[in-house]
Amino acid sequence: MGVPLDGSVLQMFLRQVDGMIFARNGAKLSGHFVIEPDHQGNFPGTYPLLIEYIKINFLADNDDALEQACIDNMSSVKNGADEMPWNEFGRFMVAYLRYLTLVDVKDLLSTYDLLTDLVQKCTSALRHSVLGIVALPTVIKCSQALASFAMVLDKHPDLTRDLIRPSYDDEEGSESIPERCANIIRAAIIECFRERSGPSSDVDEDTPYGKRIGVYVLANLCLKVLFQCDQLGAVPVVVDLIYEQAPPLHIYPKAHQITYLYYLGRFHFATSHFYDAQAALTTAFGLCPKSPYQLIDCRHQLRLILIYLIASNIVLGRFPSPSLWQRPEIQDLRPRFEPLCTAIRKGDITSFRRLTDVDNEHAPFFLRYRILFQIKRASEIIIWRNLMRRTFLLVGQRGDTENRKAPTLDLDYVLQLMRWMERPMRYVDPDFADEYNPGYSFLDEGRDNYVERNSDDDFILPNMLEVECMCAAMIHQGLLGGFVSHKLRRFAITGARSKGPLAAGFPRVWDVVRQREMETNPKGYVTGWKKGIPGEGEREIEVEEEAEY
Amino acid sequence: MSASAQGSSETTKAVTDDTQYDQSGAPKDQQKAAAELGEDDEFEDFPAEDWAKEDTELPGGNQHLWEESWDDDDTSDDFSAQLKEELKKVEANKRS
Repeated sequence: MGVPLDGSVLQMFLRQVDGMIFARNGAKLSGHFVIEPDHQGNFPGTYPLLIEYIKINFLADNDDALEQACIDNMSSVKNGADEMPWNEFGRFMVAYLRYLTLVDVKDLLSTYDLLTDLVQKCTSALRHSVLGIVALPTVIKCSQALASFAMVLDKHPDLTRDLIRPSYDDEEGSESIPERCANIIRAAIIECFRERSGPSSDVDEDTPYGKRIGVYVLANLCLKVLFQCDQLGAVPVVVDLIYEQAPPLHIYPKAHQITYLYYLGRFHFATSHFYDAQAALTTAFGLCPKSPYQLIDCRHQLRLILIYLIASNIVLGRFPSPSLWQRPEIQDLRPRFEPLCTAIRKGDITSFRRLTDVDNEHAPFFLRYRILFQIKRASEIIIWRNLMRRTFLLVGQRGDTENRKAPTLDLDYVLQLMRWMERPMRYVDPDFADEYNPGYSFLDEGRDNYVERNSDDDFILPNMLEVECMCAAMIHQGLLGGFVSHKLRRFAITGARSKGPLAAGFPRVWDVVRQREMETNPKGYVTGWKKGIPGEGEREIEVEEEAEY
Repeated sequence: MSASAQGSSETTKAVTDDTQYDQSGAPKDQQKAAAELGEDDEFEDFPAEDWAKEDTELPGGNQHLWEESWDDDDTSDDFSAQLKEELKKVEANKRS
């Protein structure tokens, strides 16, 4: 390969970059920086000559000379703007030129380290108050490459197990690769917030301006890495940052909005904030391009949104309608979710236990999307409510409004059905099995100290105390309208005179959920979702404390 | 990047292997479409940044997507019949 000795190839490269900065063309500038070589490891065009020239003329320990070359050939670095030189961009150029000479994409770790350096240097270049905006597309491009490598590296623990990287801001130990990647990109988001141009208030703006254009693209990248690598513990840091400092989400392009709301919805679902989850995912769904996707094909994204939206709604007492099930993107979801809805609707505890068992045929799907345990746990109280309602329909006393006699339900009936339906699925972990009492756990020892027991099954099946506790929980949550008489072992319905016993005793689940949300959060705040509502961000952030990963 | 492409191809292969054993009886083209959609959990970037509000899924928000009133008062189904049988035991106990 012929190597020019006069350095014109480097000069030409640097001057091209300088011209793009002079023209304030950040998009063209980012396109000029090739990050990925082809499958043979080669860079296109004059890049091989450039790489060879740098290797020969600028030894690895001579970054100062390379930086001087950048200063000499780039007035944007030397003079900057507003009498502020752009030295940070010069250092990024040095990092990029070194990257070109050193990168070997087969060596994932070293490539990841080189990309880390690139993103950090470019993020520093963002700080320039006038020229920083020109570097934003390049920051995004390098961050995307870094995120891709972090996700691949996460699948290769053999490569990363020996890495010990001190965490920046906590004392809990080393940072994982995805966490580190997210933190590096998060630093770029913080730089975007430092935009000084434009109006002082974002609330009334209908378009993002300056470096703030990049806020949600970068946030989405952080969230993508963290979700793909199952590192949800670091998500609150990103979400809180957005909630506290970002402009309102709705002023950004719909693609940015949908992606952010998808991850935010998943986060709230994972942390059992199901109402917030469905709120975010409903909006994400509504913003998607409509079927039949003549303009933009987003079936895959829509399907993912609907998986979490359906799961969120089920645990809130809303089931997919026939028209939703008609959608072609989710034909394979119907046989998985619909039996669950049927079991919940009927109060069929036995079927529900079987359908949410880890050995069920659909369990791998639910586990893969991390929705099994939330559905299993959060739907339970709705099944109790539905069983109570069905029992009332079968054997409840309708009362007599003329004689002020309230409708009641004998809890012995409820207890009988619960014990009957729980019996097939009660399971004793072999590790805790009581060797002297086959079929029982030694953890059950002592349980009969405070409850009268009638048979061996009393050790493992619900008793009246538990039924009363369930009723109390449902009354507390508003899912039952009435009270429990411990003495009479009955649930009595109040307010039946005006509404009738069923409507008064068993209000619709979704109505209860929505009413509670309207009372506790009338303005519709959703942690992490900047809507532009006054007072937003002041709501106490509790999500991370309740997180279940 | 090639890095992400590597991950995708591994996932695609795994799912393709799975679908060979899928005998759910659904039409073949539907199975294929579902397999294609389900082959990757990654939330991909949209092919466009923005589009008109009129081109979104719910411009009027008037589609009926969710059943909020699903309580079933029918007690003549098999499940209710089973429950009735079980409830008779309580009545028998109370009489005895």
